[in-house]
Amino acid sequence: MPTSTQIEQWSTQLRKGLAELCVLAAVDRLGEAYGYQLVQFLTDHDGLALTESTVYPLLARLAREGQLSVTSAPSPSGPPRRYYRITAAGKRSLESMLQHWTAVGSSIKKIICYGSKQETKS
Amino acid sequence: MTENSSSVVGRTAIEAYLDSVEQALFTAHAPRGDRIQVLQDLESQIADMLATGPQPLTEETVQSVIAKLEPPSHFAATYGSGKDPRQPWVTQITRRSLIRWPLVAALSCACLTVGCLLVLIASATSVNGPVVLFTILMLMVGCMLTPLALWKAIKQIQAQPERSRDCGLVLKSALVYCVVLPVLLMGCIIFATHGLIFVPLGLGALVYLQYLVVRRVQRHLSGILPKQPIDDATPQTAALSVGTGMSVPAT
Repeated sequence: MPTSTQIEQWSTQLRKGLAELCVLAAVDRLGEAYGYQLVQFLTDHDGLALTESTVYPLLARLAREGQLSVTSAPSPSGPPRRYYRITAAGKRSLESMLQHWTAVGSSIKKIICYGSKQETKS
Repeated sequence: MTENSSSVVGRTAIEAYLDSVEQALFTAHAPRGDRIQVLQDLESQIADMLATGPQPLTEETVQSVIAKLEPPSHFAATYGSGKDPRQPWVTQITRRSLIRWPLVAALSCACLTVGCLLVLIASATSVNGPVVLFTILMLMVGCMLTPLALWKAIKQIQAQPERSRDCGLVLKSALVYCVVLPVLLMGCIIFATHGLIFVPLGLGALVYLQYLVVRRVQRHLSGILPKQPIDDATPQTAALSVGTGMSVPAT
């Protein structure tokens, strides 16, 4: 019987695996967004719980890899904000990830439905 | 409280937090560009959080905002547990250029074999101290280093397929080790028990041989003798007739 800690660990690993997909999808959806804006957008969605400690290093890596472009703009509240926008390479990565995500989700759904059918028969 | 004084009061705590984050990223060997970007984003977030918080700013306000942020160590989690991300490549390059573990395994196995030969020679002749010490050293090196070297060699060949030419060396070393070590251990046991070990070993060997003979005979007879015909007797009557030696009429 898995404990709540084990489920929490599994959930954390699951979110970590989906972080890149979520960040790219969020940037693509918002068009252009700065770091805190993205963090707030992602934390507003239940189950993701992507915090700044995950998002900011990920944004830096994606920018380094050329999947996101970065521009600085003045901020009314303090230091300049860094605005992120998805690049063509980022879009290709996102599309590929979405294809995998769709395939994985479909397979899991089939497995779950198969299991439900077996339970109904028995 | 003026903006300047509040920024001075809060700035110390903010910079302390940012320094901790930077240190965590540095320890995790995050690239310098990543460190700069993360800190800039974080500083911008802190400014936004303070701007939306109660005004004017106080030390407590700044501390409460910092308390809502993730611990500095969490920022380094993406970059692993502090190990150099280049390390696997460095380790691979290091391993490629230095130790050839199949050769080490072969040499240590050779030490074991030479040690055994020296033991035989020493037992037949009267040898002095240094030779005995050398023999013991060879045996110890061979016994302990060979399995470690073989394990390392297997891992090395699996990680570097271009070293597959050393597979033969590893196989031969493993076979020699598997043959020589039991013989050496048996020799030690014989010496320690003054040959009395042969009694239980002989009995065990005799029992095993008997088992093999019995099994072989059973199989041979089962093959050449016709199978027992299945009559109308029920299983119970068949069991009775077998047990008592009497024939029970079928019901």
